[in-house]
Amino acid sequence: MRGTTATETRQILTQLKQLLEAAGSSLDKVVKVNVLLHSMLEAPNMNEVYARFFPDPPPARTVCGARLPGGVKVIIECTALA
Amino acid sequence: MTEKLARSTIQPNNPVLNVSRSANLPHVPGIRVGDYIFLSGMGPIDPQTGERNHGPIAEQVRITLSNMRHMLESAGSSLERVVRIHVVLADISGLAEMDRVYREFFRVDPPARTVWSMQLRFGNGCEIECVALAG
Repeated sequence: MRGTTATETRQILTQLKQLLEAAGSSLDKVVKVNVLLHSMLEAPNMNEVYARFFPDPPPARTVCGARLPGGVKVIIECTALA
Repeated sequence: MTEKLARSTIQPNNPVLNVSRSANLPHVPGIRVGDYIFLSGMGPIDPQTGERNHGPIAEQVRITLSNMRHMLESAGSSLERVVRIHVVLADISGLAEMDRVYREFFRVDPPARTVWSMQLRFGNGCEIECVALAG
């Protein structure tokens, strides 16, 4: 389902949290995140949602704008401790 | 049985280069975990003024790699201990110029590297991130 950058970010991070927890890890154990956005003008919209998911201090991160497949607005990948 | 690894934050000794803190962004400059350091993407920030340098790409790459050296050395590591590096350029036509400066920083046994072009924020010409061995 397509949404705004904010709703897609929320959906992705909710799923990422579930995936990590299913593997015995968690968002607290994330070391590095890469975020790809369809437009860097959307970075503040992504950041606002993103900040609510991670503990303080949050993990290291890189954000870039890219042409994404299938009309998605956000792609997020991470490296986490088990 | 494997021991649980601790995750700690890396900060630059020069506070001007702590861009995520000064811009209140939801990430830290870097994370140390076990024997590895993961740095966030770094841009061409002038280490004296904290302003973005939007000069020629060679100059931007030089500033960024020099800041990366500072960041790693602040954590007891160094450019010599980088194992994986990603160089993102706003314009891939700056590749040759980037390479020329890059070689000044990694003269022997350079790390594994990938370069690509992407849309960058704030009008930056380059963004560089790496994974390095801790000190």
